[in-house]
Amino acid sequence: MPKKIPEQKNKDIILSLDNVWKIYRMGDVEVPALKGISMNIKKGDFVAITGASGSGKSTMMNLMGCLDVPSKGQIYLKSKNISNMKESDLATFRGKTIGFIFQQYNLIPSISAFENVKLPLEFMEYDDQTAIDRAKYLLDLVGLKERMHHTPAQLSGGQQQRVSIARSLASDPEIILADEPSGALDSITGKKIMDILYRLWKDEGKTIIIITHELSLTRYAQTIAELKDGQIINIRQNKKVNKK
Amino acid sequence: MKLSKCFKHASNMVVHSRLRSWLTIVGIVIGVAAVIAIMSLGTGMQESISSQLGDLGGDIVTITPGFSSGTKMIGMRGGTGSKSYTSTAQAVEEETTLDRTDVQTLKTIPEIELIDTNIKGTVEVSYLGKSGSVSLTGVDPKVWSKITTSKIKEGRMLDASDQNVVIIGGLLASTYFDRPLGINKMITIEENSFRIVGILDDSSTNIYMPITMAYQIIDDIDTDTYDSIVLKIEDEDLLDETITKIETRLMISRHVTSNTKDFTISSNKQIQDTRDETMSSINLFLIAIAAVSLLVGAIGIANTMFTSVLEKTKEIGIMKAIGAKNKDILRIFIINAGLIGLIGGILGVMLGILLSGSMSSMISGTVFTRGGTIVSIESIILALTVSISSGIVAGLIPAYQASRLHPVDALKYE
Ligand SMILES: Nc1ncnc2c1ncn2[C@@H]1O[C@H](COP(=O)(O)OP(=O)(O)OP(=O)(O)O)[C@@H](O)[C@H]1O
Ligand SMILES: [Mg+2]
Repeated sequence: MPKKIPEQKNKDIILSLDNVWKIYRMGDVEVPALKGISMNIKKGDFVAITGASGSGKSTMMNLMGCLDVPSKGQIYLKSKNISNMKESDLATFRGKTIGFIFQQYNLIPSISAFENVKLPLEFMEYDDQTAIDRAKYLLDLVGLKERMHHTPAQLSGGQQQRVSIARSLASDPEIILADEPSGALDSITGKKIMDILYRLWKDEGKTIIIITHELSLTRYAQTIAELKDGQIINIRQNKKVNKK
Repeated sequence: MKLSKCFKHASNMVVHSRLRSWLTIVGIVIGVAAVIAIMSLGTGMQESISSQLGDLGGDIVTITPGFSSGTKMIGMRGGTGSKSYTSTAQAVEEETTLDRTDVQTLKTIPEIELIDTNIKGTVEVSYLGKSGSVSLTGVDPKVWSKITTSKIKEGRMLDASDQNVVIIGGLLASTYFDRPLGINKMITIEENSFRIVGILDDSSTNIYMPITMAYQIIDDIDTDTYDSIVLKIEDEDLLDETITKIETRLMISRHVTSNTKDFTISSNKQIQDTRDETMSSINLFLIAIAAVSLLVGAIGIANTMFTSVLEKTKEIGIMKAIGAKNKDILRIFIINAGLIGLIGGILGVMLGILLSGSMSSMISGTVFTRGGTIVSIESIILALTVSISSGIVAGLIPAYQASRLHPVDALKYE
């Protein structure tokens, strides 16, 4: 029997990592990618996680997004310890609570932008009309109403990333997790993407967590965490950014 | 995800599958087409064999006088060796005959439905100056038509009131004489005139007439003795038991033991059994070939599924990241596999029907395939069922593996 881990109670904390380790095993060699990360993310925060390449940013984001399981430590999403959850419940919970934006967009290539945005809603078993209306609304929101029947291959990188933002918003999640959302884009397009995220944070009250190695992008964030060799070496608040 | 949506995404996957998947579908198509074609050949063969051999009458038992212990003994249940169901006991000893008392004895056995008494002889037959000798059988006109396995081609069977009429074999009617014989023609048999009332659908020169007339035509045979007694029994399934019963009763009434037995009981059952055996071994052979073809198709599906799941690994990761449950992934891939099987199956059936059509014209000359090829509904259903279910079974393992992938592992897959 695994020992019962107490659920966290603080309502303000939406996502919490408690002494989280991730150790990759490659044959006999153990590669510790994260070494005892503890971090509380408040509801409505805009967090940037920075650090050099290989410092463990993506590993951390996968764990925060419940896409991976920690080797040690606990992860609480909305006060729920995710290691206690059944696979199907976690899938639904994650789908409802977190929207993902990936560096490589990760759209399904064989279906249209519209279908891509609608897909999460189908997994969540929304009724058809609601799903259709919501997908159209979101594509309009990211300025792609005209292109909604194009497949990903028929869209530019920036357009694809906007589709993926629309998709991440499909089930109206409280948290948006973005791993280098502008990493594959030129700086102007990248800025547009960041502006959309900023607006979502400011106007819609989403909790935004972005991962970036570009220090210039941290100016959007309220909280900035710096990773080095799998450990958080610095967390600071950005006084210049506030919600007003 | 709702099942209908799983269906949508599964069929979308089929539509957008790579060339490789389509090539594997071709494999299934060929497998299914081979099965359909081969089975159509088999069904055609079966049809023509059974139409040629006709109904052998598995419920017909023939009793002949005499018993030769030297003939082939078919040891039946009980292993006494006293029963021979073959018709090879020809060593008729002169003093043994079958007569009225035997018929009386047989009439006491309730398992016997009909009794036909026959005499046989060779007679001189002539028509329009041409003559020859053929075999004549005197039969009981009341029962013969119900007991014989011969079929009438023209005219009618004998009936109870018939006197000077005959039924003749197909060959005697068509080519034996200079001119073909037809219904109501008169022919001369041993200087007596007979009217032809029926022609058999066979290629024999036999003549059948009421037994009362035959006694007058055939020399040296005593009235009320018979060359053979033909019985139709009530229940074919009880053939062995009924034969044993007949044998026991006849031995008692004829005052013989199994050592001095002076009659032979034979049945067509054995010939029929042999034929059925041949048919079922042909069938078995065809099914074996069909099974191998379908197996190849199934392996093709399995291969397609494995590669398609590999190709889709990253998409599985994406789907999981946006809320797909293991169950959803499993469903989508299983439906996908079933659809691949279905598409391959349907195309295969169509190709199979085409193939079987062209095969039919190629082989129409040979004896056993006179029936051509017949594509049976059963073979289509079988082929489709197997191709769909083997698709699903073959898809099960990779689909299960795919569904169990950790989202992050799937996402990292390139
Ligand atoms: N699947 C894996 N197996 C083994 N080691 C891994 C695996 N994934 C990541 N690592 C290792 O873990 C460490 C952290 O990797 P991670 O991808 O989190 O870095 P990152 O900060 O995102 O880097 P980048 O800025 O280049 O994306 C690296 O040393 C990497 O080599
Ligand atoms: Mg990374």
